[in-house]
Order: sequence, then C-alpha cells, then structure tokens
Amino acid sequence: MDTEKQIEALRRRLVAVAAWDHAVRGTTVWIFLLGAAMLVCRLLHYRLTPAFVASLPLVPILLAAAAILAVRRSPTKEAVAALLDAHFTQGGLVMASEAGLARQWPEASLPPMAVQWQGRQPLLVLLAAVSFLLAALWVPLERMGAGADLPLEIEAMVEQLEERIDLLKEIELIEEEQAQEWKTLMHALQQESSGTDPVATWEALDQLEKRIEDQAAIEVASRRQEVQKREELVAALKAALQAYEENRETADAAMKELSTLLQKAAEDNPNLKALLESLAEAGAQPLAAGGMLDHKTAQMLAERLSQMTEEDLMRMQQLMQQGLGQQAGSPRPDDMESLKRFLEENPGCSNLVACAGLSPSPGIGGVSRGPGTAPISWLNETSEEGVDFKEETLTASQTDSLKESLLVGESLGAPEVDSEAAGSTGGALAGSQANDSAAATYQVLPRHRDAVNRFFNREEGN
Amino acid sequence: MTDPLMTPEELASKTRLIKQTLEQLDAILLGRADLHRMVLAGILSRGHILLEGLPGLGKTALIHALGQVLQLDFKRVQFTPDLMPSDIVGAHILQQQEDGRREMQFQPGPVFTNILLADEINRASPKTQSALLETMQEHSVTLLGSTRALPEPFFVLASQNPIELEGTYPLPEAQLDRFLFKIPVGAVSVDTLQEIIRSRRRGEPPVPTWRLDPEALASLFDAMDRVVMAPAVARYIARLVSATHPGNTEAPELVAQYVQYGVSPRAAIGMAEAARAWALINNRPTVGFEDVRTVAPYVLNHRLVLNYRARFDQLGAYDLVVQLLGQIPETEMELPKNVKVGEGKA
Repeated sequence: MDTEKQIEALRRRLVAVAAWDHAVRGTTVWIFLLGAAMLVCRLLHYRLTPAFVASLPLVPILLAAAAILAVRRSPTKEAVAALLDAHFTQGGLVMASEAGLARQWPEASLPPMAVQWQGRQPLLVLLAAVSFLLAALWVPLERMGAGADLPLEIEAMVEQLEERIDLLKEIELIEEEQAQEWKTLMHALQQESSGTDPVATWEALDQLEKRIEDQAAIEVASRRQEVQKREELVAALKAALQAYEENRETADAAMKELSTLLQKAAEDNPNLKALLESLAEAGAQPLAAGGMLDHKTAQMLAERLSQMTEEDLMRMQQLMQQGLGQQAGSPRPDDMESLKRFLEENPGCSNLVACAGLSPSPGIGGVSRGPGTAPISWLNETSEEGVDFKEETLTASQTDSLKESLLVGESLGAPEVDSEAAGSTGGALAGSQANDSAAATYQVLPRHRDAVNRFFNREEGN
Repeated sequence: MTDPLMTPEELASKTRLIKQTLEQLDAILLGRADLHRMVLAGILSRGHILLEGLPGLGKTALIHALGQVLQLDFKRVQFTPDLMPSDIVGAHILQQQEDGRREMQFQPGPVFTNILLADEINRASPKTQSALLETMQEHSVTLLGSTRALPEPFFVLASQNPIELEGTYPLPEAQLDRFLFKIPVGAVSVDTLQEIIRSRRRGEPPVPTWRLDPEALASLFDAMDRVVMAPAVARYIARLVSATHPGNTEAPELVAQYVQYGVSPRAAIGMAEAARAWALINNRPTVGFEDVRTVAPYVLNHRLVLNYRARFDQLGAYDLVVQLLGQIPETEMELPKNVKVGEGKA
C-alpha cells in the first residue's frame, strides 16, 4: 500500500475508534445521569415518560459530540507518519515520504497497522450504568418505603379523638349531629392522608383537635360556673335549713327570700326550672305557683343539687382525664390522684370545687380567705397555674392580628397565650412585652395570698 | 524538513567510504565493531569522545588506528599530575634570531593537531584539564592575548581509567559536557580473544591497507549536513533532554528520584548530530527515532548528575538513560486511554 494512503487510512481508523471510545464513555455518563434523573422523578412522583422522552434527543447530540471531539483531536498526518515510522523503525523515511522529500527513494512496504479498542473496562462501566438505569426505573420504591404514596399512619390519633368525641357526646356536651360531623371529617382526613404530604393532614387533625378542645373548654367553663352557683345555692339552702331549726321566723323570711330568688333563677336557668318541676312531681311544694319553699322541699332541693354537682364534677373529671377542658384553668388529669388524696385527708371540705382547685377564683370574700394550703417555696419557680386572667397591652403586631381576626363566638374559656409572640423583633427591646416596664409583673397566686396578706398586716401592725 | 534527500546513489558512495573505514578499524582492533561505529559517529559529528575502560582494552590502539585510517595528524599526551597547561597548548619561548636579537616565539603544543589523544585525562590537575576547554569548544588556543586556530578537523579523544582513582582528578562538568560521547570500553568475547592471540603476536596491530583521504572525509562531513531530521524526531530529542531535568513536567518518576541535574542544550545539539551520523553510517538519508535511541545513552550518560540515591541503589547514568528511553514515547500522539495501535489487521 502507498505510504500516503496507509497514513491516511490509519488516521481515519484512529478517528473512528476514538469517536467510538468517546461515544461509549459519553453514553455511560448519560445513562448514569438519566438513571439518577429517573430516580429523582420517581421519588418526587413526577411522570417518567416526559423526562425520558425529553432526554432522547440527547442521544444523537451525544454521538455527534463524540464524533466532533474525535475529529478535533485527530492526529495530524505528520504525527501518524511518525507513529508508523517509530513502530516499524523506518529510520525517518516514512516521515520524509509524508513530507514529500523521498520521491527518489522506494516506497517502504509496511504491514497493515491495527487500531485496537481495549473496551473491557468501558463496557463494564456501561453495563453498570445500564443496570443502574434499569434499577432506577423498576426498583419498587414503594415497598422500600421511599416516597411511597401510602396513607399517613394516623389511626392512633383518630382513635384518641374519637374517644374524646364519644365522651363529649356521652356527657351531653355536644349534640349527636356535631359528633357525627367531626367523625365524618376525621375519617375523610384519614382516607385522604398521604405519606408524601403529611403536613396537610397533621394540620387538619390539629385544627380538629383544637376545635374539640375548645368546645370542651367552653363547656367545662360553663359547667364550672353552674356548679359554683349551685354550690352557693346549696350553701344558702343548708344555712336556711339550719336557721329553720333555730329561729323559725327568721327562717321563714329566708325561705321566702330564697323562694323568690329560685323563681327568678329558674326563669334564666332551664336546668333549675326542670329540677324544680321534678321536685314538684316528687311531692314537693311547687314554687312555680308562688308557693314558699318549705323545709322538706329545701332539703330535697339541696340533696338534688348536691347530687347534680357530684355528677357534673365526675363528668369534668372524665373530661380532664381525656385531656380536655384544661384551657379552662382546671388541674391536669395527673393531678386528680393528688386531688383524691387531698379530699380523703380533708373530709370536712365544704366547698368541693374550691377544695378541688377547680375554681378559677379561689378564696371567698377577699384575699385573706384563700385556701393558703400551698407552702411558699423559694426553691423553684412558682407555677402560674390558677392565675386569673391578666391584662396585657397588645403590641402593634398583635393588635393587627386581632383586627384581622374573625369573631366566631364568645368563650368563657381562658384565652390562649402564645408565649412565643414577641412584642418587637429587634433591637434592645427584642422579646419584651409592652408592659415589661412595670415594676412587678408577677401576680400573687391565690394560695399565697393569705401569707402575703399576713406579711403586710404585720408591717402595718408594727 | 524542506531540503531534498540525498539520492540513493549519493548515499551509496558515502556509505561505501564509511564501510571501508569501518572495515579497516575492525581489522585493526578485533571484536570492537560497535565501538568503531560509535567512534566514527562521533568523528562524523565532529565531536570529542571520552573512552572509559580498564587498561589494555585497546583504547589507545583504536585512536591511533583512527588517525592512521583517516590520515589525520595524531598526537598523544599522557596526562600526569605534574602536566602543565603549557605542555598541552604550547608556550612562548625566548629564541635568538639569526641577527642576534632575542624574542619570544610561540612553540605550539601537542594540541595543534587533528586528533589529540589525551591518555588518562583524569590524572591531570584541574588547571591542566581546563586548558582543553577552549580548544575543545572553539578549536582555538588563546595565549598571551593572541588566539591561534587549531587545524581542522580537530578531535579530542580522551581515555580514562575507572579504577585506581587515587591521585586522579574527576573531570569538571564543564569539560565533560564538551565531550560528545562517553563510551565505556568493555571486555571482548572469548572468540575475539582467541583471534587476537592468534593474529597479534607481540601485540602489534596491523598497518591499515586503505586510508580515507581528506577530500573523502570532507565529503562525508558534507553528507552529514544533508541528512534530514524530521520535526517529530527533533521533538523527541527535545523531550528526552527536557525529561532529564527533575523539575520539568516531562520528567518521569525515575528522573525525579535519581537525577540531581539534567543535561544541557549542548547535549541536545550533540544528540541530534550524533543521530544524523548514526543514520548515515546505517545507510539512511533521514534520522529515525531508533538512531536517537541508539546514541542517547552515550550522549547523556556523562552529562547527568545523579544524586546520592542513585549511588545507594547502584544505578549508573548509562542504565538510567536506557530506562528513561523506555519511559518516553517517541511520538506525542494523544490517543484515548483504551485505544492501542499495533501490527495486524484493523
């Protein structure tokens, strides 16, 4: 073969093999990237087909780039001639022939030269890339738990909420329709919940739980007021009955006054009205007809009222054991055991609500008559549990939030105080409330008031 | 690479002269064919040659025979520790003229010759050795302000003994660099020894039967100028020389490990010239990569300054150059890693 032709043929083979090598390497990289993209698409639940179709035009571009790269890096004729010369030890004659200087010299008869592609390693890497792509396409991610579209595991929370709803319904704090509505909503949430988007489900469940708790808190607060009034009424009845034994004239006047008050109260309180009617059916003297409260009726009334109070308290205890009604300033469920022990140790406690610590305003008749049962401790920070509503000046941002808020109803429950709300966001006053400048922001707890009062009385005495 | 090549006929006439010269040398000094070719390559390259070997191996006989065959003026200087520079380059001597006047006259030293045999050159002091620097590089002698040219061609063929180093002075690098080749002269084979014993009674070499006349030698020098070196070969020489420097990117790990200083550009020039001569001796009008590989160890080995690690590992400069040649590819073609070129069908 002519040396010139042999040089050109070898050069073309080198370019072709180099292009093939570049194409294999580029394809390997492309398949790896495609596999990674497919994997990401599957994890993010995108459709694979558009991504795959979008990547197909890259194939001819890749092959063209490999060919262009091989051509651009193709060796020159001089380099190929030098390669041939060196390989066949031609002493520079091949290079001279290529340069056209050896026309008077016979053409060297060179054996053909092979260009080999040692492709074991690139092919193995390519095979690994293809395997990766196939794995990215067909590996069951759902079974592996990665990005699966499974419903969110909220059964425990749903069961707990259902128990609360059933309890509220059982103690007649909510209507049957309301309970059913909440349960339907909850089951719908359970059906629509998705493992890929748990936030929405959790937020919805949180809102539902908050609605239940708010409803329970409102009801507990309402019951608590009613229980307080009832206990005051029972105390008055007992006082009247005791006076009846001592001084009948005075007792008659008290009974008369009590009768008037009961009649007025019954007009506003359907429960009391129903109670009086039931007493009348049981043989007591009816008050509705203008009759005066007699000794027997008063006694029956006091017993029934006490019985109702105990029933209400039991219901409230049930609520609190379910974690409901705590926003109304009630003790926590875990405090009930200690409450039970307290009641056993203090059998003479006349005011169950006050003794149980359920009253938001402990003490009767002023600060000096509080329970004063809790010792003052200087060790740990005093819990603010049981503190009355405390007036606070709202910051500008809080005021804006209040203006933008929507009134959905009025509640007797304690307001929820967001402790993380800050009055200002920067500067020296960061984190301070508007009334932080007051000399003392602490309130005296009811159980400490007696001691505090004694302290100041002693100073006055001195 | 634009000059036309010698025609086959032109080259054949030169090759004939070379062949006859080598035949004469081979006949005078038995069993030294490779040495004769390398020495002739050095002569055709107009380079100086340092022969290193034990006594009695025929170094002096070779140089003497070369002078006879090439019909060049030949002088021998036995280097000793008390040899003075004036003993080599000459001196001004006070002479009385015919008219009775006395004046200083220059008495040329043995350096004014075509072939100077510097026997056991490492036994002279550095001062005397340095007297050869100008003569070897510029082919001239400067004495008392006047420069005198040496006859052309001028070659210094030196010999040194690698043993008995007591009382010797290693050649300075500047002078070593001026030698084109440093050729180790080794022992001959048993057959050669037998032939020497049979044909050389009393050790007297035969008288050459043919001599190269000066015109023929000049034509060989002219032919040297017409030997073509391709740019790829020149590039190969440049890469080789660059690879001997430990700090260069071309230097392989071997060089970085064992070489303290690389070779000079003079070595590259000498290698190119020697490769041309080798191509001419091998009947080729062009220089090939194999020519460079052949002459490179003799051009580079005495110019490399090895470090202490090479001494620890008993690695000589010659062996290091041979290894270096195996690590530097002839061409710079950048093929993909998995693409190999070899003989066979595509």
